[in-house]
Amino acid sequence: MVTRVSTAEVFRLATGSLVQQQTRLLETQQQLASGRRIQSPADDPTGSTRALDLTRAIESTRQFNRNADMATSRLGQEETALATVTGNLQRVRELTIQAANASQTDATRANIAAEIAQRRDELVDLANTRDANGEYLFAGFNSTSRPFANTSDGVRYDGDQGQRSLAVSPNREIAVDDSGYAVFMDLPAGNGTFEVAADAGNTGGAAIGSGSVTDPAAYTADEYTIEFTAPDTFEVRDGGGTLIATNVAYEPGNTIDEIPGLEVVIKGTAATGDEFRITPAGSQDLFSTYDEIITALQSPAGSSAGNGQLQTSVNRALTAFDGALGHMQDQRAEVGARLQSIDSQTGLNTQLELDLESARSGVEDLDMAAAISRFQQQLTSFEAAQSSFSRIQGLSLFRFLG
Amino acid sequence: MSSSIFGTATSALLASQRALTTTSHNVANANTEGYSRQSVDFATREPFREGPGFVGTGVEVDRIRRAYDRFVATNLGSAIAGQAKQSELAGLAGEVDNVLADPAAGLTPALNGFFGSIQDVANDPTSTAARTAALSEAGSLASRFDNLDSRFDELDARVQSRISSAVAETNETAASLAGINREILEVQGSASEPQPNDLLDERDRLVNRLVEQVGASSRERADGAVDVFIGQGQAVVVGTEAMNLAVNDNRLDPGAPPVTLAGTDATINVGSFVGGRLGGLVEFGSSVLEPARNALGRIALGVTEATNATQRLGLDLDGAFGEDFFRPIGDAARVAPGSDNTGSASVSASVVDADALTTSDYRLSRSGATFNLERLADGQVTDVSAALGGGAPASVTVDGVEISLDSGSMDDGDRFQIQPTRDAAAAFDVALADGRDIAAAGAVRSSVSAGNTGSAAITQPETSSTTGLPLSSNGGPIELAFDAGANEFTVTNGPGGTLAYDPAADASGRSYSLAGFGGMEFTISGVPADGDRLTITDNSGSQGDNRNALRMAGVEQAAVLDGGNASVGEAYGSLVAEVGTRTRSAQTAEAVQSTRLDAARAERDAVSGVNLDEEAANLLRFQQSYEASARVVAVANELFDTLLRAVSR
Repeated sequence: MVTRVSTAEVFRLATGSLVQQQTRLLETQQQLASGRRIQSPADDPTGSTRALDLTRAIESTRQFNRNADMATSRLGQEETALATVTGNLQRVRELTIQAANASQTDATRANIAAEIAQRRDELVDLANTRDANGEYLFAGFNSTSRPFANTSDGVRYDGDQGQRSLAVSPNREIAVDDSGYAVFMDLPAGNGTFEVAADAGNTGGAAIGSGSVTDPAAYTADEYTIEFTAPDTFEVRDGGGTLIATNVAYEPGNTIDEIPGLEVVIKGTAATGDEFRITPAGSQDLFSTYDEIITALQSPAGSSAGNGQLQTSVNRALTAFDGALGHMQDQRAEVGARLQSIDSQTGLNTQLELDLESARSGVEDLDMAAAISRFQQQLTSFEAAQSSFSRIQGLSLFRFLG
Repeated sequence: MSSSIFGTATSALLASQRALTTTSHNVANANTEGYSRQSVDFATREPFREGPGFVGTGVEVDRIRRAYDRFVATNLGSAIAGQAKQSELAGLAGEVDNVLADPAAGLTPALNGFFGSIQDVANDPTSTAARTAALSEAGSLASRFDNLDSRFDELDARVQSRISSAVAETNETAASLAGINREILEVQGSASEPQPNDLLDERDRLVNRLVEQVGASSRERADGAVDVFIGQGQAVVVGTEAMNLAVNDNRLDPGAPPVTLAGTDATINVGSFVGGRLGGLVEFGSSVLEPARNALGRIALGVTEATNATQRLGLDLDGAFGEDFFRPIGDAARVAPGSDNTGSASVSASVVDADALTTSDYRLSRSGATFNLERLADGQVTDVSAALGGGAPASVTVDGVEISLDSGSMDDGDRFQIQPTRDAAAAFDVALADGRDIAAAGAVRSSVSAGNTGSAAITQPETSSTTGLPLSSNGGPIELAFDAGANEFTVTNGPGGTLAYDPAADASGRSYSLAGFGGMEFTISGVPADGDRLTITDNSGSQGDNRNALRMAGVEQAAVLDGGNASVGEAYGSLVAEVGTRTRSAQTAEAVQSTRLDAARAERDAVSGVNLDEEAANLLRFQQSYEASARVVAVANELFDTLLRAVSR
């Protein structure tokens, strides 16, 4: 216990505590003015580091949502293009069915072929669609040069098989396009397993349908030949020339199931020596399907043989169009699924951003009510210190002397 | 008789006068810092014997006493030293803290901006606008680094100039103290002489000033002079002699410490154990500023190295492999030889692996046949004799820093100071000049052959180096042809050979890595038919590819520092936390020391301070005593008059 107080000490203590209270008052005032609890990292080192982390997370979440907007717009454009392609396909399919009608003549078929040719050019334009930034949508990585070129051999794909992805969360990338190869070039030929063809030298009017697989386990991919040994009998050989069935009676429209695992239907009058081939399906581009049916419709079909070829071509084309429609449907479903997952990710991101914002505000922001009441309290005690100082400094014995 | 009354009264008048003088001296010095209250000790004068007893002869002033307590004064000194040190430290640390305080001005928004702009490039890789924006964001990042570093640099310069002025002031104070010691010795001579109170106060004031500057301790000698020491007994003032402190301007010099004391026998390093203001300054440099600058430099190195590494793996808009995005700063490492080195060795250092870096400085030294590399932050010593002992040229890599002995040789005792990260933030700069040069595309791409009848698919290959790339100058595109009989892909070009693939087991995907050809990794899935082909080619012309841009944007989240434990953003966060914690603890220590100082002052003032009320009372007391003595003179005079009247009658 200090028993003696020096006069200088009295003043020093009083001013010291006044200054200190004033400093505290100012600190609270600064907090109130900025609305922030942490004025500098030293106020709360852990809190300010946490605030930095949260700010970083908020910023990158915002960026991910910007990416998602970009992805949505790109996929939206792809979806529009694919929808138009689907419409185009449906129209061409209708035209093909129309062309197969017995009432058509060579001339009317040529008119239909001309319309399909128009549609084909439209399809090439669609395949060369550009996005809002002028990039080709269906070019893979090579998005700055025109991916589909018309040549005398059909349409050539100059793009690549790359697929662009965008990041919509730290560990989620979503594809925002499909290469022209995947959309237009890599379609299943025939019925997806095998395709049928009539020999160009057939003289009869028989036509083969696209057939189907009845037993995938029994089916062996090979090149089978159905050859008519007489107008009412045929034999079947496999790729090695081995006879699988011989002297089979032909009844137009009956199912032919001699080849293990598959069945096909041949209709119409066959001639001796006519051949039909069944080959494993590879991939086919959509443009050559168009080209094929255009060529078939332009060929004269007045003769029985010509009609048989036309029917086979129409059968092939219809199967191909159905396959292509299914393929486009798949592509659109895929795009739709991506759009949906972007949507749900954006929702997650937005929620996350809100959560992070509120966490940051909890760390960084001032509790106004508490701060204001603290300010009041500090103000009161500051004023008390001032008034008590003015009283104390008036106490001096010298005042009473003299 | 009346003459003895006169004598007695006169002595009382004189004594009261002296007491009044002393009291008024107290009143006058009530506000003088370091003034010790003085009081007068009265003593009775020697009586004389007369007849039956001794007759008093009045009063005399025995001595003028200084209210002083050695223990209290020493306590005050150490409180002053502690407070001065912590206040200096807290003040300066607070400035570093303020540099990092504003979340909008720190590194975080610049890092966010840069990596966000790379995401924008990934969103739209063919857009030159997005690429130009990315370069300008990189420029902002560079200027933010530069800005932070120059703020640190300013602080550093200020600390250096304060150290210089503190040393100058210390030397001046020490000289004055030596002078006061001399005066004290002259006036006092021996212990029996009266104390020169005001000189002693002046002496204590100077001692306290020295204590405040350098945290010294003092010892009073019997003759009244005082000796002052710092650290473990290094004398600054001995009697009438003062030693000089000196600042080493070449701060990189590992041969000389920052502050030295030029003693009688040798120059002593006192940098590490000075206290007071100078101690606070030295400690601020070594424990706050330098680690902060090093940490900032390490972040700059991390951003540069990770971004450049990714950039080099990709192709720019013109199909060429990416050039450095940021200027390589690995060789910005500072190396300084000791000023007392005698060998001819030339040593250089460069950062080869930012991930392994620490924020410490290093010292390479030779002792006998042993070459040691000491990490200064924690004192861990690595024996590098095996690598460097064989003579130049030789090199060793420790903590991601390659230290090379380029030429010459180190003598015994030679030292080199190495600062791998100190200058990196200032050197951080954008190297690319054209947005087209941002390597957004991957190096190679894969495709399935159009004639394939199987369903085999291949992912786009990821590369991890540029070895064996581009494929066009290393044998051409790599082709994988499936051999259904052997269940394998025959590889043409590239590494050649075969890749086993069993469609029955691997249809859901099997991963491969081609060492030597960019270390490319890809996955094959599906069921290939015999003869089906997969092709990997150079990715030329693929301006729309954003794979590498995505990877570059991923650098923001990647743990590229601190041994794979921290992303660049996290490293900045821990820098802020470290400075914040350091500042906070300095502020707390300052508050504690201030309280201690207040208590020590109060204690000293309780002993030595002037209380004006007390002096007012004393004034009255001595005034009354003076008046009473004067009254005695009057009485004596009356007695004399009475006698004269009796005689004259």
